[in-house]
Amino acid sequence: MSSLSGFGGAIPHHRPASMTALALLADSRFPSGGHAHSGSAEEAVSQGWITGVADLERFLLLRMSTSGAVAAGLAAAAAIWAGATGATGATGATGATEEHDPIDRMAACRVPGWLDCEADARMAAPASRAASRTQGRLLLHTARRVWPRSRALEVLDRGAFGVPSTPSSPVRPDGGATGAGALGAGGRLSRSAPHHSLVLGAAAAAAGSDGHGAAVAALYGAVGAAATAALRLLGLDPMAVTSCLAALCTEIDAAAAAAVASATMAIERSDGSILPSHGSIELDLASQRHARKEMKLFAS
Amino acid sequence: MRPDQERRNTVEAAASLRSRPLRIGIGGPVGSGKTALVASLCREMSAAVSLGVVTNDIYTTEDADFLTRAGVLQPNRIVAVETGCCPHTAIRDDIVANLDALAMLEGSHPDLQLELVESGGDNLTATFSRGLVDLQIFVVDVAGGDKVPRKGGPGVTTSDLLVINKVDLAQMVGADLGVMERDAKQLRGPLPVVMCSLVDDPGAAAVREWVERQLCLDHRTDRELP
Ligand SMILES: Nc1nc2c(ncn2[C@@H]2O[C@H](COP(=O)(O)OP(=O)(O)OP(=O)(O)O)[C@@H](O)[C@H]2O)c(=O)[nH]1
Ligand SMILES: [Mg+2]
Repeated sequence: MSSLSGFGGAIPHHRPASMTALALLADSRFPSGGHAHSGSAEEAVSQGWITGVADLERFLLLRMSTSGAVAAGLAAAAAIWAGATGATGATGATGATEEHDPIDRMAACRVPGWLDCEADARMAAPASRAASRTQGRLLLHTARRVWPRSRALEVLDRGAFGVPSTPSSPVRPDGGATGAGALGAGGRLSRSAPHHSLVLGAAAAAAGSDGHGAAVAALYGAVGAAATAALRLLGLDPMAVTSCLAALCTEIDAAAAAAVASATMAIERSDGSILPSHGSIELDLASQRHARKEMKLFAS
Repeated sequence: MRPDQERRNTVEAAASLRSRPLRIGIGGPVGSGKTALVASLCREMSAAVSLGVVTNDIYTTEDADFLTRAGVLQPNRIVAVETGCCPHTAIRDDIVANLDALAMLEGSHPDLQLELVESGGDNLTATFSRGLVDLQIFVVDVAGGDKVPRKGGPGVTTSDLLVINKVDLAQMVGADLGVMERDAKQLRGPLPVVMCSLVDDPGAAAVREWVERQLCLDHRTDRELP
């Protein structure tokens, strides 16, 4: 795992995190292309892992404690970084201090690159990495329009990140930098972008939320996408599905608290290996299988 | 010069004055002929105008594959957007994937003048966001019965052009074309309606002429391009 060195002590004081900002970000109506992704629920349905609400509950718990927890740690770290990075111009939307020591700022600019590598290392399936980058690019598109003065979002937009590579859209050498485009086989998109969790963290900070808000949004997004997809694919009772999500609230809160604790420590100690790194080989395989399918309703 | 060559030159000259590509959405119920219409427009116009197409399919790349196979446009000018179970969300409420696809097309083809965005087949209420397209064409077909225009919905009532397609099938399904045209015009006021058969007129002349006319206008001011 790479290190977050050079970023100690630059975390400024915040005003209290806005709960409304969290509601805005966690709302599935926030335009970020998320509706096209099922969080592997489509493949789980086709494998017969999810046939009804009882299976769905188990699946959501698995999602929450693996990819959800990983995304939450990364999002929290990104939000802490973004909170310290502030906004462009005289009055920052985040209320963070505007002027930093230039050396600190240079170090701060390297943080998203490190976090992005940490994200890559935690997603074994190329299809999961690709879906995460695609969703990162789309969320960034909206977030840049909504919070044009966020310095962190600007850094994510300008930086060079990896190119999604899936079985259906192989890596193209011409897609290396942000802004450069490449069409994969079958006209599917593949283009450089930071991972979704990083953008989510930066957007949370820009909205006025904090690391905890970013972690909750990541966890809720991870289970919410899968729950909605299962509801649509199986025609489940929406009240029963919502009950499933309601039953997860305490566990999501606990997972978010754990994610924030490790993100804070990771940044303080300049050590990315502290971030959550849970995974499931079954989910990784499912993600790969889904990407190879010709007939599917959801992108991932 | 032959008249169609002359026409092509006029469109080519007008399109070259555009500061950015014109974005036209093509929506309408399942199977009404959206892809067939896109194919016609590409076939007829791609010699004079730099064109790109974005498709929004339910099952990934069906329409994009059709257009590629039909050979009406270079494959790298066609992009498929995946829409989950919600094709109308991708064109109205959450348009980022489509905006991204358009940005990518413009990145690889900086000379683009016309962008056609085909929605997945959906219901009569599915319309495009003005944040995604400048203009929209709504395609319904005769085979669904002559009641369709009367049922209304924002696609029928507010689209910039309503195409009533497959008029060649009217007799077979007992649809009264006069009723359809009258109902549509009543609901739409001054907005144009075109009766069309892509079987009898594979070039979709009336629709093509409308698109060519729009290419010569500035849609922020509704004036002729200078
Ligand atoms: N008879 C007749 N058939 C037509 C006409 N236009 C299209 N079709 C046929 O109608 C069928 C559906 O056409 P498409 O162009 O695929 O329709 P679509 O609206 O793109 O369909 P979706 O994308 O699935 O919603 C095809 O078999 C076309 O050949 C027409 O004017 N007359
Ligand atoms: Mg079609």
